[in-house]
Amino acid sequence: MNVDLEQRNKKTVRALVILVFVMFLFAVALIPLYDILCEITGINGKTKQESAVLDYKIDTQREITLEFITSLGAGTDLAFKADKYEIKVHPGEVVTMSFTASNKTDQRMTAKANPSVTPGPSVGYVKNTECFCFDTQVFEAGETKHLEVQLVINPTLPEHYKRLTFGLTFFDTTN
Amino acid sequence: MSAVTAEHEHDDHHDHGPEKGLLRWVITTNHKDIGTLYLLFALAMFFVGGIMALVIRAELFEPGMQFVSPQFFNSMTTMHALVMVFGAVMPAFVGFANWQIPLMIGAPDMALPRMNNMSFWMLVGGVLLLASTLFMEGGAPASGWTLYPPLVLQTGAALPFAIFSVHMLGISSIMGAINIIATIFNMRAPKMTLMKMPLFVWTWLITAFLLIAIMPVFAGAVTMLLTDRFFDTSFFNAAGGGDPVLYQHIFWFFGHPEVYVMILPTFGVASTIIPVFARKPLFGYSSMVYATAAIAFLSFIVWAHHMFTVGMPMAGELYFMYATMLIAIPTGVKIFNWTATMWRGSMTFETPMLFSIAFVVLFTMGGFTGLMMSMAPIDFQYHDTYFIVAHFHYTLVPASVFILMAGGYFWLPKWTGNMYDEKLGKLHFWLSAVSVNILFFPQHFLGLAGMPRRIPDYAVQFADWNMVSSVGAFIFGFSQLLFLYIVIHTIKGGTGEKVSDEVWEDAHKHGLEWTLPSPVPYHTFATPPDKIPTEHF
Repeated sequence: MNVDLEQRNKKTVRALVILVFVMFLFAVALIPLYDILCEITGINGKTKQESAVLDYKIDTQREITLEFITSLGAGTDLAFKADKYEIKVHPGEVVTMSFTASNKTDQRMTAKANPSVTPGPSVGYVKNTECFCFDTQVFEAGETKHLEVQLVINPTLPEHYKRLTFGLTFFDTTN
Repeated sequence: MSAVTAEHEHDDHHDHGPEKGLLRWVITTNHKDIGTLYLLFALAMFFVGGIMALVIRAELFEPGMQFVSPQFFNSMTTMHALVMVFGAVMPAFVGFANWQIPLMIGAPDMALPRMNNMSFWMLVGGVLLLASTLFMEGGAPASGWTLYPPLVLQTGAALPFAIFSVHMLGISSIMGAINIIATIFNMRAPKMTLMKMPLFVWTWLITAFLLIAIMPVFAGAVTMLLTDRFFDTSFFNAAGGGDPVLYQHIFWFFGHPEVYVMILPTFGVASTIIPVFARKPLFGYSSMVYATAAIAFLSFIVWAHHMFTVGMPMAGELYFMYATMLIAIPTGVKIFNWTATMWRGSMTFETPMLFSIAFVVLFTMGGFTGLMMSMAPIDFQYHDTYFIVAHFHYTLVPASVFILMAGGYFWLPKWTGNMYDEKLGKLHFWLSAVSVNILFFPQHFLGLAGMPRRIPDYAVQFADWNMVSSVGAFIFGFSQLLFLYIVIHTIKGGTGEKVSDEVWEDAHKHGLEWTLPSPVPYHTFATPPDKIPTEHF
């Protein structure tokens, strides 16, 4: 093999190996990109995790049925339920909902809840003004806690939404 | 084999033929030897994956649980897919690439022969590691070849081994791809300009770029699975703020181009075989090149059509739907070009041509079902049913696998200097072509009727077509033993008929490889050829 060819091969390989690393980094970069994209567009049921200043007019003409569902992550040994499963609210009205969670184990548990709203495209219209899911919750062995969520529905919510579901999933994060 | 004979004939005036003994196959850096290794390994894995498929079809022969546990059944669907994709189809095309690319572009060998050897043995290691998971506590991965979390994270002891095996297969593919690109860019005969390269070389060049772009992404995704399982990260775990749907996006960013890695070289081999037996130049050479490049580009921007049902916003559904439909255009160009190549040609129907014609017809059917599923609203019905199973098997079995068979029949006489048994070849073709349709066509009906994929048992209304499909599967599977026999028979001397240098009538007009003696000597094109065939323009 002549020297010239060897040089050219080396150059080609170097360029291609760089491409391999760039693509690997691209895969890693997809993680933040995905989060950013979901946050900007509000897709994939991600609610904004911050309290917002709200100044909505209450639209007494409309009534939305708000359902609450609770669920647990794998291996999370809590009893967790909404105190009311369904309420009717006017858009723009701040509502407070309470939940009860109790630690069924005899050990201290830290847990965190994740909120989600369905149907997906309505996510941007539901503002969590206050939520126990913003923080990690600490349960002493056997402790029962009353937890509160405050939320408000943006009155610009498109007409065809009559019923929204607000879900909370508790995950044991002790370890 | 071919090289062994060559060595005996030319012993006196060749100072370095192949090594003696078995060690030759371990340490070889000769592109022909490595090509042979890849092809034999792929053939072996084709049977291993095939046996897994028959386990699946045996269990599905009747409703109810017959032979295997649901867990093992799911391991079989997963392993069948991984073995066929990474162990059979991809290595077989790399085998063709190793044998044919240097011969087609007039190069003495691949650009990086030692790396070539390493990528083959890495592949063997990767597949063995994967196979070893079958014997581990908790069984082999059973989550489907897509390895979706959170299900895949419930895999037992096998998970890290499966992931490392994917890493090894990925590194092997990347090294192979780098080698192919370096060979094509730097080692062409002086008159072999890019737009004069045979289409098989073109399709492999583009495929190699696809591999380099996607394999690192897949490696990244499975590495994150590994850290999620063992190092408490939460990339795909909702408890820690991650998202399992993110994995699906990364996986299909790899997965969609990956299916084209298996089909583009198929197009290349078909474009090589059809003109020879139609005795005409390939119709629309440059449009074939551009269509291949267009398909490769589109493959990167359509991934989420695998995820229409995850709850994407309307704009996303529409974008991925229209982008996917676009693929039909360059693919249609190719189908019409092959048809036009055959139009008014002086066609003969030797076994390679039969397989190629079956490919054109049956691949088109697989393409049409793909077009059906590209429509987002309709996909909600087809998603995860046997309809998708029928679709991708039509694009893989009577397409990629048939063309691999066609290529085998087409080039084996050149490589070995022996003619295969044409009668047996045709018998193999007809058995395969009929049974493959008995096997996969009823799966369309099952899917439309709502039978989900990846289940070991099913409702009784699906019983009849499942039975037909299983019968087809067993005929198809056992017909392949005939292929194995024909290959071995040909290597060992074949019909005894001495094949000419061009093997097929006027083949020398279609490619450089047919200007060499048959069997091809161990070393070829030590000096680049000064004339290249121009028939394919």
